[in-house]
Amino acid sequence: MVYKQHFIEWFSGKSLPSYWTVFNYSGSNTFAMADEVDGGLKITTGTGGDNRGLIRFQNASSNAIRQYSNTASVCISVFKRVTGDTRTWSGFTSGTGDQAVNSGNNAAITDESSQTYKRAISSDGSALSGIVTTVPIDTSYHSAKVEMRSSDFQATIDGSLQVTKSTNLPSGDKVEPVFGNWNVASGAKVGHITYMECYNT
Amino acid sequence: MTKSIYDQLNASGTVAKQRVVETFSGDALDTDRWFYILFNGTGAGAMSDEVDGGFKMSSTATGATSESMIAFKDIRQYSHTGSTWIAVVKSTNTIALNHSASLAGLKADDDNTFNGGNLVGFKKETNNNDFISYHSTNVGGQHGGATTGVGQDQNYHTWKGELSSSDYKLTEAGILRTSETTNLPVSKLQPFVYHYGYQPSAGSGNTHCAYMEAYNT
Repeated sequence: MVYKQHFIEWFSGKSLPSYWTVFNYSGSNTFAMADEVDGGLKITTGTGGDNRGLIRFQNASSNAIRQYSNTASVCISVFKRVTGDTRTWSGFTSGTGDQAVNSGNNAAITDESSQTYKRAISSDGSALSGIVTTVPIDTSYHSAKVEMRSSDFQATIDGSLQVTKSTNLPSGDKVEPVFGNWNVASGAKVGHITYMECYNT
Repeated sequence: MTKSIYDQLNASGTVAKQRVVETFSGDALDTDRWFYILFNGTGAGAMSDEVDGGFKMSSTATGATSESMIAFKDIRQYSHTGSTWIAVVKSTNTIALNHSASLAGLKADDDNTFNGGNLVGFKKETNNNDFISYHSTNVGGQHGGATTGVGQDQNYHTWKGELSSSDYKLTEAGILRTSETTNLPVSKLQPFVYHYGYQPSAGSGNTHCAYMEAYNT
């Protein structure tokens, strides 16, 4: 068996590795390694409504670097939402990664304070939709696995398969990892990520 | 079928805690992750152009002391009541040194305070025949240094320190060497590697680190 692309990020050290690019889709958000036990990377939004920021891969020429197959890859992350009025998401994107717009082109797992349960969400450039899981929203770390398959993606939380979603899949044939945090009201809102692994299957 | 690293490191259904793995290989230290500090004297830190060289910190001040360290610039993500560190370290010297020390483990602050320095680790220094376990609270004078029974040499050793709320266990080469219950750190920690050397004449003392891993338990 020939090795396929595989990536692992521990989010531990003095700063976010430079192969990540930070994006502020609204407001001025803060991206910093947290000086906290199990703190990982902490995204703190700006204080304005709908301020949101995310990390993904982009080179110096502003080209996205998408090395994972839209039909055969896995993204595993460990993340949490901390605050209310917040949406935190992690998974793959073939677009901007922004969860607030259809062009985000995401396939991700979310914890949103406005929901009762965590959701699997996806967007294809023209629409965004979500399916609820059976895992209640909370402010604790969970493992979130997104597996892109030939005609759908599967969302697994803490080892339990929750959702198989076949609508509004991200467009194109390749994706990259994304983690984002969104303030849907006002005040600085916080999300953390301590682990990200991606590989082609 | 590709297997995830995650599933190899964590039991099914469990949520991974903070971890870091550093292999110290490449053309430069990963300065997104590490912060190199030369506290005093003349010295350097660089990737070593040697087989199994890893990252090497050298002291070269003649007739004087050099001290250096790498750490996470006080980003402390590891628990003082439940964490483990693993390091592969060796100490070498080109001349007989009046005094030298190599340490690695977890420490609260990226400074050169060790007695009262809030840390756990192993230590090699010239006034001991054996490697020792070294650990301390945040109060000067409150430190432990039980001997490991492992004689000092210039070879790589694999050290593993396991810190719980009640004890600190130090393993070398897969064998438990010390287990102590006093003088444990009292706040969150970061990985570190430290080198100290006093060279009476021209020459160098060196600490190499080829691997460092830390994780919360």
